[in-house]
Amino acid sequence: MHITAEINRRFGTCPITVLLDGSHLGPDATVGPDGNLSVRRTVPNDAKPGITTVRLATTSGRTLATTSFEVLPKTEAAVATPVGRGLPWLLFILLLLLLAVPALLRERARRQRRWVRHHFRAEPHPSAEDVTSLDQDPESAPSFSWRLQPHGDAGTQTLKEGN
Amino acid sequence: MTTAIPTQPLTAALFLFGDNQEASVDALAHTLHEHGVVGSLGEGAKRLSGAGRKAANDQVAAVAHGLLDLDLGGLVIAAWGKWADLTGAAKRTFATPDSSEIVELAVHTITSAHHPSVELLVNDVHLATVRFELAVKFVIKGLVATVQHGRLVAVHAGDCDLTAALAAEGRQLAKREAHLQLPVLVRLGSGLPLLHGVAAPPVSLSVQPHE
Repeated sequence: MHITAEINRRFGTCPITVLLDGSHLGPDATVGPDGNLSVRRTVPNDAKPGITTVRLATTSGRTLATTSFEVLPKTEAAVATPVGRGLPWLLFILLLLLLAVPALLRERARRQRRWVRHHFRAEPHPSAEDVTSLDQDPESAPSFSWRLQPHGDAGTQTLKEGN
Repeated sequence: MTTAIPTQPLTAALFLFGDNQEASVDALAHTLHEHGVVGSLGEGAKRLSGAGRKAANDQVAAVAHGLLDLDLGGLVIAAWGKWADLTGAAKRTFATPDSSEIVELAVHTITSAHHPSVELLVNDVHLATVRFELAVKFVIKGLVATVQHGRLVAVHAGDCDLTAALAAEGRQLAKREAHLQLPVLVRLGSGLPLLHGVAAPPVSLSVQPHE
């Protein structure tokens, strides 16, 4: 809240107590040399909502001016805790982490693959002890074969001279 | 109906992890990673970060895939080359060059076990060894083949139940079973010699002086 008051030049540089609903509201304020007062104060969190009074008084307790002031009910933003107020930042940092971590992991994976390509070698060793066997089914009919033996016949050629 | 003829031999790696070479390596890398094989290789491997371990894992997979580049048809042919029922026909046809034999073979099982390994080195210093176990089993039925001049020259019919399983460091990585037609699996080319260390048959050679 911003409190302004035109008091009197005689009060110039004098300390003035600011009271909200009878309670001190911050430290004493000082009246300007021109007799004007202008101070900013924060309404306490525990102030009761509703119409109340703001009073300016001398340090000896004499009231100089009184005015009414309405304390509004607290909004969500107003009641936010310091942690709550830091939530957007926290979310922002988390978002950054979410973006940065996969990129870092990808880079790490790329480096690992490159390292493996440069330093790692797989060498083949073919099987030296192959075992191949053939077993005939004892219940099967035995093998049998047909032999094909050609017997050619050159034929009989005859040649006769003359007619 | 058309029958697709494979353009490349069927290898253990392709049979277990897929027809596409690149995808097949990736599949092996994935299963190695999934089973934490590289991470189980002692303190040296454990010190690697997740990304480093994956990079190491990918290298192991690429090398191991090469070791599994084992022609399955070649395994079958190698086993047949030692089977008396076929080598007997080979001897007879070798002795009588013009003859051929059609052999209907008994139901048989071929098993093959392989133990390749991949050694991991960091700055040329041994870090660990990944030991693989590949087990392949063929159950062959209804095989009819032609043997000519000591060579297996054709496979006419026959079915094969093929099972292959791969493990690393005692953890099973992959297993697959399939039913295949033998003429598709086995590639004989110009014929498979069934006799070894046998002298070539005598060749008639005559030299006539030029008059």
